[in-house]
Amino acid sequence: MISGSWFERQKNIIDYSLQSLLRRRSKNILILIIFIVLVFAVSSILFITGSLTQEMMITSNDLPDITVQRILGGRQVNVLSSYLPEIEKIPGVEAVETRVWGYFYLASLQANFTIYGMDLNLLEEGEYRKIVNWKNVPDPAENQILSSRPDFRMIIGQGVFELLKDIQMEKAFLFYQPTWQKPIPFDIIGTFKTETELQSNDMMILQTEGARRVLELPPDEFSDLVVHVPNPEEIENIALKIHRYFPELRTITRAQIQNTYATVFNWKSAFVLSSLLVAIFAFLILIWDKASGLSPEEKREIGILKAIGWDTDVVLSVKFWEGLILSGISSLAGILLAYAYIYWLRAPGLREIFIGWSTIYPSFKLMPDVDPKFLLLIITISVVPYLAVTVFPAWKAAITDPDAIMRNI
Amino acid sequence: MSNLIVETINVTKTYNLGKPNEVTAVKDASLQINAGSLVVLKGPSGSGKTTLLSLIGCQTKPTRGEVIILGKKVSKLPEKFMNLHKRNHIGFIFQHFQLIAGMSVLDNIVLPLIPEGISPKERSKRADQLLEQFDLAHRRQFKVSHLSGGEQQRVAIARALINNAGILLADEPSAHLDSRLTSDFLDHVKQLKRSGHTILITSHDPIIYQHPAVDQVFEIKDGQMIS
Repeated sequence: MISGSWFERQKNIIDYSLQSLLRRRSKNILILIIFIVLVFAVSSILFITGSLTQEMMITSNDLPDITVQRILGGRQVNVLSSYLPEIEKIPGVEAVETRVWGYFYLASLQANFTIYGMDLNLLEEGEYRKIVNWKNVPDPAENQILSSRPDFRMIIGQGVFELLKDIQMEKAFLFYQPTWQKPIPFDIIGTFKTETELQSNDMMILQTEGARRVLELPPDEFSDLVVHVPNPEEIENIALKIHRYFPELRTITRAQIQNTYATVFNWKSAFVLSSLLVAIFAFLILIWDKASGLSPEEKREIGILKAIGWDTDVVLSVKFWEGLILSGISSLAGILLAYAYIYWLRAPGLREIFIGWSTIYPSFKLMPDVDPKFLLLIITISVVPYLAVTVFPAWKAAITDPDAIMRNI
Repeated sequence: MSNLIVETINVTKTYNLGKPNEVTAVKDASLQINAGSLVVLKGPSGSGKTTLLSLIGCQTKPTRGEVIILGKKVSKLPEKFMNLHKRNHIGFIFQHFQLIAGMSVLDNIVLPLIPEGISPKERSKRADQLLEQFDLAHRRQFKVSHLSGGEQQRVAIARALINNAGILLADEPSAHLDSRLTSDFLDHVKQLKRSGHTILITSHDPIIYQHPAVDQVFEIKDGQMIS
């Protein structure tokens, strides 16, 4: 008999494997669905964790080198301006900035906004200009009242804008506390673009003087200080020095914040994965049961193939390809579905677990960040065990004497 | 010059060797078959016919003794070479036909060619000749489970012949056929004998072993050759 090429032989084996999968359609579709769900669940968690950690790492590069807070009686209190010149004197410190920030709870919407005070004119310059959608900019010629109140302007995050729109305050907002004699009106002159939403979604950036009024901050006091250190190698040292000179001051470095983000996301990822563990385990048992137990029909088929002259390695090749095709398609589909779910649909249901803490959930678009290590991990924990559970029982059946087929197995 | 094509020398096959359920199915069986002959191995149920046919058909290895096919001691060959020898020279028709139920007639017939790396076109060409020869062309794409017993047997014969094997072994071919279909089967066997095939059939059916085309009858009882 004339034998064909090795390539033709492999092609025949793959064709046969595909046919074989289609012949046992119902069993294989069930395995396919379970497999896709499993890979989808694990991939989704890994994708969102990776993407958020990456996103936080990138954006946190803009965080201050050192943030200085004052602690009194175990709680954070305002920092006095007298600390500024003392910290500026420490060698290695380039500059010390003051910050004004706090929270404003709007009971009618049950929403907590983050208020930050800064010189809004800075946002009109350079790179910052690009992150704001400017609107309602008061024209001094047309509106004397607004132009006469430059301290009462603000830029808000997209989430705040959506909420204020519901109460018809998207152009101007009235801050009010029951202890105040009258509300303080602020003009909204812009909203932050969606790229910055992870940080800006619940934010109200107010002109510093206006922010002081809303936060009821005395003139010589600040929420905290920010220290700029040009040499990254010195940051930890300078933070230690500040704390040593002023034990009542707490220092937080950028690296500490980044570690906290990473820990939080990894912890949440582990928590969600643990919650899914029971389901994953149940699915695995089901797959094992479905894939590893050869049916009498499958055993008979292997017997027939052996009896008509197929070698054991050819039978195993068929089973290998069957397993690879099924698990490969499932893994690919699960990964692609997870990708679409996380990056296109923005992970509904899962995002709240990972990023939400208040009533305003950031609706920013997650930036795709697929680590090849994740893909390798997913394939390793899905395709490889599946191949093992399909090929091993087939091998056991294939090494049986084909003589058994003569006795009508 | 010897015309010998199949020979067994003192072949013994013991199953479950050394276990409490050990059983010797064939004991010291020797036979010789000439090329181009039609030979029947007869004997009652459980006499060891199928086991001896399995040994000759390279389906299992003897516990003792030698099986020689076309001058090659196949019982001593490693599995891979024994399979190669089987694929190249032996066609097998199983008692229960052993077709794969979910597959078409065509796909069942070409099964032995798949590991050979023969292209689908060539496989189809070879199968079409056999489908014509065994009057199965109209059933080409039918699932074998939808065929009658006689048709299934013809598919099994076609599959046994697809690799152009010179030796054809048939295990109890009339076991599931009525007398008309048995007669049809014998017509096919006669044709194959005329075309030069060597055929060995196991049977306890007189319609087969008393057929005038049969050249030689061996008898086996309790695992031992008695004639």
